[in-house]
Amino acid sequence: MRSGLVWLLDEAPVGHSAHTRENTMLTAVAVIAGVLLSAGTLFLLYWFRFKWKRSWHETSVLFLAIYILVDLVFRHYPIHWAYNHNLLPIVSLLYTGIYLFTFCSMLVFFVRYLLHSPIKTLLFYGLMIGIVFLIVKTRPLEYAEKMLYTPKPLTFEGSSENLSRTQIVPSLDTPIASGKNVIWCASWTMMWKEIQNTLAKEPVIV
Amino acid sequence: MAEEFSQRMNLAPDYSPDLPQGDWYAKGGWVDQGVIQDIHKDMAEHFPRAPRPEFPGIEQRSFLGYAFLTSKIKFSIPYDECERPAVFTDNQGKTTQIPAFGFNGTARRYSKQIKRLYCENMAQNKAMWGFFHYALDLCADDPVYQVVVAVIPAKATLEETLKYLEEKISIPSEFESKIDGNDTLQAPELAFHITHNFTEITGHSFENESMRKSPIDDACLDILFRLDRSGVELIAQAKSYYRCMPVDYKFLQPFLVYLKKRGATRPYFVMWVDNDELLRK
Repeated sequence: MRSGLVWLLDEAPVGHSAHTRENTMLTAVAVIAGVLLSAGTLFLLYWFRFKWKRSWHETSVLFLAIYILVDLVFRHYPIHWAYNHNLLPIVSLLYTGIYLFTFCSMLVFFVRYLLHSPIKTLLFYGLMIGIVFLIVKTRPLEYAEKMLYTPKPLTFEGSSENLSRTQIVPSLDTPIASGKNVIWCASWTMMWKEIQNTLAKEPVIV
Repeated sequence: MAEEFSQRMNLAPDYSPDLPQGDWYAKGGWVDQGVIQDIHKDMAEHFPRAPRPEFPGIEQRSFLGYAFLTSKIKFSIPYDECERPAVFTDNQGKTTQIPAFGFNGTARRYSKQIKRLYCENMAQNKAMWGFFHYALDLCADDPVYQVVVAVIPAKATLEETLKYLEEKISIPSEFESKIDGNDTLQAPELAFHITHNFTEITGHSFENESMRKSPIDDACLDILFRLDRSGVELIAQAKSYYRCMPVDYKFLQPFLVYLKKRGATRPYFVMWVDNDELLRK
């Protein structure tokens, strides 16, 4: 399974087709916005640390607690919202930024505190990293990835003459053959009615 | 055959009130009176993304009938792709392994999106569980569109099949319209682009005086249809001129799929899937 940013760059789940120029533009905007949002989140955390004179240890724990709380309360709603507003790349990138920050900060302080109090540090950070890893593995990123949509190729393209087990009918009351797929679409009837009403101005005789 | 064809078409109802506004366009006229230019202008204005309609070889004195219909219905929450291939069994008992979409164990996530329109235990012994006929609305939270898939018996015409289903839906059911948390869904994917020429009338002429006894050289219907876990897409154009227990909702047997404007009496696309010819394999 691909993870992180890789899918984001080549499969933006925007609308129904992933390869139009507009979608490429939107993906680029999403990437930039996502980077800005992630950077903004990091800035907020740095600001929090210095403003309230908290240790990195406390900052990362607080951050993790907020994240778990938000995740528990809102669960998949941000992802559903993002999917329906074609903003899944931005939200996913934001999630990725949060994960990266949490992991990196924990790794740095794990090494730092290990030198002072190895047992406590191992216990604390082992537990924290375990929790974050579990969330990352089971929660939004994976779910967002599942929601990604890339249209698959058509199963059939061409003239109906090449279809032996499919019947196209002009009207709903046309008898259907047994063992065949049957397709009807209103566009043919609309075209007929247009000829009937605007050109023939009476029932059409063929 | 041509006479029967035209009689059926003349008696067919006008579907325009049942179509979502802004999703369709229809125009008829004479080429020498500028109908092609009108169609190009209107299509560019109303459907700027649609390809410019082409009428190869059309005669200057030809009539032209044209209709365009498009619907894009995006499921609010895309359904899951089934991890294992499903087995579609057609009316003759032939089985085919196909990829499918749906849910298994995550029904609650779709409780607002999917609605049970009809469900009936068809087993003679009602205590037996497992032989059901059913119909589901796959986008019940969409205010404009309705995508219905149904496992029901085929009738002699699509009209009768639809009527049968409508009657079944109108009868109060022992089942709630909300799906149960343990229900599962498996539906096959469809994605095709078919060009069909109605040979029943090509080569014949319009006999109406006002139609200048015009021959019909091209009576063509183009349908692009896609049904998958993310939603439904339909693009269709028609042109005519001269050239001149949990209940397991498994749509793995012949089934009906139709698209309808929510609240409308008639659908605008109907398909009876009887065999695997158009299924993704």
